[in-house]
Amino acid sequence: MNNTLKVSKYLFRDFKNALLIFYGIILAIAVLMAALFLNVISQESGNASFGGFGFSAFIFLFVSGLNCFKANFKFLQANNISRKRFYYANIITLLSISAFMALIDASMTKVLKLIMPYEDIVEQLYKNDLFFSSFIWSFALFTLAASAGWCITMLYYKCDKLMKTIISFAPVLLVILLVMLNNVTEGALGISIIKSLTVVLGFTNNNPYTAALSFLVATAGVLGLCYLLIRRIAIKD
Amino acid sequence: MLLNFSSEKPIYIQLAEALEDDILKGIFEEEAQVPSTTEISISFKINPATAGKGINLLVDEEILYKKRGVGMFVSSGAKEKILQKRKEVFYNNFILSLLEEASKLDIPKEEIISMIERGKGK
Amino acid sequence: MSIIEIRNVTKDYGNTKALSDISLTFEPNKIYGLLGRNGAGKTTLLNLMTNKIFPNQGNITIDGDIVLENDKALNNIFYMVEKNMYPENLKVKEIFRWTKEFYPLFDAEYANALAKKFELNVNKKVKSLSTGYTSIFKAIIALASNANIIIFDEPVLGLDANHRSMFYKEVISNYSENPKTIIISTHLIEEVETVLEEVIIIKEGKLIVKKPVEELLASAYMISGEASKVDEYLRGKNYIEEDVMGKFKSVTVMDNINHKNEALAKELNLDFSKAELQKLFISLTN
Repeated sequence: MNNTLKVSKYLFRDFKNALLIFYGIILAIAVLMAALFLNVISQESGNASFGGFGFSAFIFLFVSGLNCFKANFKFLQANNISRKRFYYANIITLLSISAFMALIDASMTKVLKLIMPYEDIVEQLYKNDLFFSSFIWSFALFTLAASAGWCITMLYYKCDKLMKTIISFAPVLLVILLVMLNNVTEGALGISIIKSLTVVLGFTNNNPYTAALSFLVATAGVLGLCYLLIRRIAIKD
Repeated sequence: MLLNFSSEKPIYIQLAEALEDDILKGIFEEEAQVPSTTEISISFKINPATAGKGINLLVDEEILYKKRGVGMFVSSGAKEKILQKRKEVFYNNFILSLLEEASKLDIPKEEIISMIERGKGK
Repeated sequence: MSIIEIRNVTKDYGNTKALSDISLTFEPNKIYGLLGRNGAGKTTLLNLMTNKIFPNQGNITIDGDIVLENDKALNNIFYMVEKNMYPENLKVKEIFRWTKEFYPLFDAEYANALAKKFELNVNKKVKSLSTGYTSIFKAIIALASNANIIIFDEPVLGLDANHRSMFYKEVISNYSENPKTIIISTHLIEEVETVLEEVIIIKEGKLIVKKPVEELLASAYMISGEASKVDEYLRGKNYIEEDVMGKFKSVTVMDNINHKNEALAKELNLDFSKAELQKLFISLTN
């Protein structure tokens, strides 16, 4: 375990600068927004509303996931660290960073709310402005973003050119297939997909925890896939 | 010390002979310390096991002896021992084959001696 | 003190057999040379030993533990890979620091002393190092790792003669101070010959020789002199690698040095000399 944490420590190193830059920009935008709002409100009635930063954090973590494998794997292999240890250390790292960013996101919402009519995604979607639900929902979504990025990058790493092309077109093919099936079933498929998504994402009863649970289950699935991918992965030039 | 890596002799034997040469030349006096196996292997880039083998050859012949924790030293009487040994080798390698060749060419003993004297006089 | 055992290891890449049924043991605390022509399977073997790739058959153990995904076993080995595996935007000294995290016995003081000796600037980023200095940088980490087993794959790539000599001396001094198993895979045989205790030669994925260098060298000798006389001496003998210069000829005879016919050579006015590992290697792998 001790050594796994050492590997995590190494993996965190990569994030430090990226996180600093990210939050530098976010902070600048937040300040700008607040300043703009304070100027605007003096002229007009205050019905302007601002969305959350959660989406940028989501993208950030997805890209981080995409970048967390190649160089780190090489370095850890140079140090004779097993794939298994890398796997667990990377999970620790991605989960901690997701938690950290979700915490910042939820806190920022609270602070911005004091200054202006600010609503984060959770509030917009679920009409729920509890700190804890916002945190849990973002955390679950962020871990899904990060692990999906990681999974995709390993999938590409493992495949040759042909397989890469196939994988790249797979989502497009899936969409076409779904549309076709939808036509065949005269729209029944589409409706049932939307229905089940509404349930899974907790929209039916405005419950963000249902969505968080779904995201976490999906994350676990993706991480399981990551395990299968990393198990026998070998360095490529 | 001089080692010739293209000589047909194994390196450890060359090393032992080179040390003997240096003792004969007085580079390493009796009771003086000689370079350690490590020093020798590093400066000649030879495997420490090989260097050790060469040194042990001389320890077995009591030309060198080991002082625990200090290093390798030339035994007293080492020079004499080496001389005796070399003389023996000289006799076996040169004198015997000289006599063999001489008998082939029918050179009598007196002539051989006078030839040696001629060579010495040069 | 770690013993590496390779048992019946086979590795295929698709249809090509990179290694076929290799069995060999690296005894503790010896300096080994792993020799073979390009593509013979040296790096494949080293990669298998360090869990970089996986064998199709057979297994590899360190002190009895199978190396597959086994961090405990793997931590006994430091493997200096031929390619650069380090993040290019890190500084040399930062990599020293991180290596210590994973190899707790890593001797930072020694690493810095070596850097000074080889004039490697530890404040430089890895990407700014030349080929030679990249080799030096990786070799320094390996030497300072204090692992029980250190593997060097082409350690002197891009080094000038002076640095190569310094490197070999450092290997010996490191080994003398702290005996360990050292495996050097290289094609520069001539200059590493005296450093090695044993050689392992691989040809087309098969183990063909594993012998102490001295023993291998004793299995052949060189003879040279006037061409026709050399030919006369060679009658009925197995020999390799002829060098002819005008009337002068020198060949390597594949026969134990104790079997050389000194009387005949004397009669024919021929000279003996030691066989060169390089030449033996070429003949064995051809």
